[in-house]
Amino acid sequence: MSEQQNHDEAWEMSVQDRAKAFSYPATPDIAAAVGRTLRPPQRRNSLRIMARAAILLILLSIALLFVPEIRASVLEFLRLGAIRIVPQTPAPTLSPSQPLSLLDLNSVASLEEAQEIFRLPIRLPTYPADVGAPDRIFVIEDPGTMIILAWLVPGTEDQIEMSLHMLRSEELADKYYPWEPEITSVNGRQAFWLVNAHVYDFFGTVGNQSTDWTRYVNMNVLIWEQDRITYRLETTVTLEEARQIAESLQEVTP
Amino acid sequence: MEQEFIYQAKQGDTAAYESLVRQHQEAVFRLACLLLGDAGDAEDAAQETFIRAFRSLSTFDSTRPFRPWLLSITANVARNRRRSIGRYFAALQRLVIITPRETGNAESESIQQWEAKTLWKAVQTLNVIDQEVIYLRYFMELSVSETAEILKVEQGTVKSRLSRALSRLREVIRQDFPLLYEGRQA
Repeated sequence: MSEQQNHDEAWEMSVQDRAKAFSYPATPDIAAAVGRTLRPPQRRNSLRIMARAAILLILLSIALLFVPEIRASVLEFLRLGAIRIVPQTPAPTLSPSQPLSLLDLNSVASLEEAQEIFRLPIRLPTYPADVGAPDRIFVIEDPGTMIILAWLVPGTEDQIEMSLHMLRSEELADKYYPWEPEITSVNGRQAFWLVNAHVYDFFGTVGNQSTDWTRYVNMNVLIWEQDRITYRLETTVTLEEARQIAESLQEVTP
Repeated sequence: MEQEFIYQAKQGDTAAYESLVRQHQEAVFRLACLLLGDAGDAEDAAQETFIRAFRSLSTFDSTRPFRPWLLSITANVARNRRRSIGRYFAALQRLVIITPRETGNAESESIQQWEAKTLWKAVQTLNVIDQEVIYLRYFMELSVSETAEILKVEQGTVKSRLSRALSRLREVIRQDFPLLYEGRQA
């Protein structure tokens, strides 16, 4: 065994010994609190009230579906992978000064960290030839997972030229887009092309927790799906160029 | 017995589930403490873990051990909570989770506890992947296979992550926690 190995083993033992001595606070009675949360309410009256309220809500929802505008906004949406295009008119109000810029996100990660968290292969564009590695990588995990790769306008630190967003297709994100998206294709499969500014809303689907992350998008967007990953490309280029970028994605090799 | 509780809990028996929680609450709470650095946050995270787990029980494969599945949820819950950046930094500043343990040998115990606490502080400065693997393997004293199951990676990946994490930890301690480093040399 080399000296270096001995040194490493001694270091590991030292960490192990010290960690064992760590003193934790006393464990509170979590079981009782969880039990209180999970046990159904005992009072039959409240159950009856809730049942009546649920029936009323269902009846009201059915009645509302007879109003054409509401029916359109509720039922007629397009979906591609994780992304649902909701033709809501008007879209949720959000002025261009309000949106959360990608660059405001705190969760900046390395490509390696993003890959660990995403657990599906992250692919990078190889078109145009000089595209290079992304300048910023963001991870949203609250609680759905989205990876965002951003390329900055050369020479700037605060302007995004292009961003590629990846979601697992079992997640769900809404685009409030009251126009017809252009139907196009990427790698021979259906894709959407959106050219009007719109509101984009992402929330996770893990457990019963959901967190909204709403943005105002004022770039062109190409949406497509490949191998259980839904991609969104936000860009200023033309549809043809955007498709070339989409079709140039290649898996990152470690 | 645990299998029976899991079976009953899957049928919606909350009393059986409470028994399961009681069996595992210490491990879940401790991991949450390590990851969040605050006992109050850890208690909330532990409760959230068990409630999420109850609601996802139908997806749990009963032929597999329950604890790694729970701890995997705990790590996810803690990760989500830490993304609430304000709370995370506030917790880091407080650094108050350690309570002295009763002991017959006060002096040697306090040195050990100081070292353990300082080690934990050093680990907190590493990235989340390094933290998780060190906490599970050395602080929680879990096996490589259990750690792999919790992190949903191969055992070989656990070993390579540990090796990288230990080496980064050594650098952090050498630079920022010289007293602990000197103690190790002694």
